[in-house]
Amino acid sequence: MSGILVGSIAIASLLALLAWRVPVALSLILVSFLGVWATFGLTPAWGILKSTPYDFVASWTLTSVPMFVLMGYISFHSGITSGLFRLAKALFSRMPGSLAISSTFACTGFAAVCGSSVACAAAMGKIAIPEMVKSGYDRNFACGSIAAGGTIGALIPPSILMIIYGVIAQVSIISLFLAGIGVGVATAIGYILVILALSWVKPEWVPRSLDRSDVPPLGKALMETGPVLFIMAGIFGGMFGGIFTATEAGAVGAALSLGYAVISRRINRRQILESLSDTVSTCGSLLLVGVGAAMLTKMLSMTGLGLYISQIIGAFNFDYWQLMLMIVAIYLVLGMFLDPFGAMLITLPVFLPILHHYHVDLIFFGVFLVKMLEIGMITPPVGINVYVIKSVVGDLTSLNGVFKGIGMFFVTDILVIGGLIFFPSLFFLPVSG
Amino acid sequence: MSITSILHELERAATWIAGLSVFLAMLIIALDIIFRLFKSDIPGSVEFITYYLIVAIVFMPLAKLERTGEMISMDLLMTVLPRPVGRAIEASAALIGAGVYALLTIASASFAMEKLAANFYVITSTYVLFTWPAYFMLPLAFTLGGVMSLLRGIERLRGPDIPSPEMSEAQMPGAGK
Repeated sequence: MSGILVGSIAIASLLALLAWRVPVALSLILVSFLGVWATFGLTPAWGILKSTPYDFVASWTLTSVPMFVLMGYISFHSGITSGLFRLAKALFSRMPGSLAISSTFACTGFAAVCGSSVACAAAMGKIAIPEMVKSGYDRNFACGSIAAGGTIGALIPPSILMIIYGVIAQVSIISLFLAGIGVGVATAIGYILVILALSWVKPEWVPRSLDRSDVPPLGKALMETGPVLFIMAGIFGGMFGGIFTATEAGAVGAALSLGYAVISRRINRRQILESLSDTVSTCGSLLLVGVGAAMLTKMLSMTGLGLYISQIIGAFNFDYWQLMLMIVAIYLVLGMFLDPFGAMLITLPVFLPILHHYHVDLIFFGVFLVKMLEIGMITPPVGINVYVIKSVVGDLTSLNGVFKGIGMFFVTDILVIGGLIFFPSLFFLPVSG
Repeated sequence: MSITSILHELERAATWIAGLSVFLAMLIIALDIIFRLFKSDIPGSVEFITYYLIVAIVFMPLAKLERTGEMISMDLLMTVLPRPVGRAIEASAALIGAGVYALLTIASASFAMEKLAANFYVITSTYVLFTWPAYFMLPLAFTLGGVMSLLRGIERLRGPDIPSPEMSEAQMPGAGK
């Protein structure tokens, strides 16, 4: 049997196993092993199965993942970032739709400490949604705005998705982080514009004014948030100033967050253990998928299927924008059914040779991909952020209600994607070729 | 002591090792940066974290992930199929998973034995760090993950409740105390 035929059967089997609910990591490992075995025999297949798990994971760069994840969970369990919402309220209280704008701003700030969309949506949902509903916001809109705001988490550094993309695509993680800021900020601005527009068009959804008795004085809010802002400044300053590597920045951020949470008595022993437990669960499930993706990359390369697919797509002579729109369509569909990490790690081994063929800048693509995957977090039927918000608010609204509330934010996301494809320089990203 | 209890204790121990490794990695890196301010460093810290701690962080929680069903998977079919069919599919998926873990266990054990035979080590700035013991974490973690996956598959075939009562809390040891 030819390598390409074996590779094709392996990919079809992979899809069948995924649909059969075999964990993504184990499906990838199994089809990669069998694909290499069928093409080249047992010895090379066994060699890959033996060495890949350890060799992939034993990496200094990958160590940044548990560090940033730990920082996020410590922030989440201790609530040290809750002051960001009060600071945003103090800053924006005179604007129409100020609570929704404040929650978007707070999501962006929380993202800078956390790196996870889900944690961002859960933390902000608990704080902001009850207050928004109390102030007269439409329930669906309040839930939708936080679910969408959470997606900013993966674009603003540190971003776990970007770290894993950087390891697989072998590009600089700090460059990815820098490039992500533009898209994250553009998304936040887009969301704020939606809120402002709705406050004029539908004031029954988004009240124009806020009861200022609940707004803390700016100085007090700044004092409360000061330590968190100091941690953020330390991480970004150290990382982008070339003092720390991404891994070191993650460890410093986790240590500072833990130190502050302990000193300010915001975290107890149980919450520390929960943070550690959540961290290892997240890292174990994520990075085992990474092992599977590394094996799939080897299988696609050895069978020649990866090159074959890129040659076929190359033969169509797609324009750059046609290729990108095709990728958008694929990720919109995948995002409906797959976790962002699963969707990214299954597709990257196939897409990377195609992107090389079309000379697409891999830093640009990393940010573009993360934005696409984040849209998957708020689209039905498996929009994870929507489920998180629903679990936070209980009977306040239905799942469909949260999806309805996301509508205008989804439109904004699509506009940002369009902007990324056609006017990448607007986002201060390297222009693709 | 029943086999389930022993497995539960092993799973707790493995999760403890992973949690401790995260904490240690954070501490070592942060201390190393402080030492750097005084033109010093912790010798071999990068190598110890890379060859030991990150490996423990990723692989040791596999048993817990398998027991609690936290592995990343696709839920497409589950949303449209009747519950008994869905349960049968979940059971077969868990059994396939157990088979993959068995393969991984054998492969990683043979890799670890090769490293042991070669007395594998890395040279840090000031000392030699033997790394072969780290390779043995993988067969251990894959065995535990495989057994948990197998148990989950069997439980799924027998009825809807997966974990035994004493194993129902997805927490770090001591987390609920």
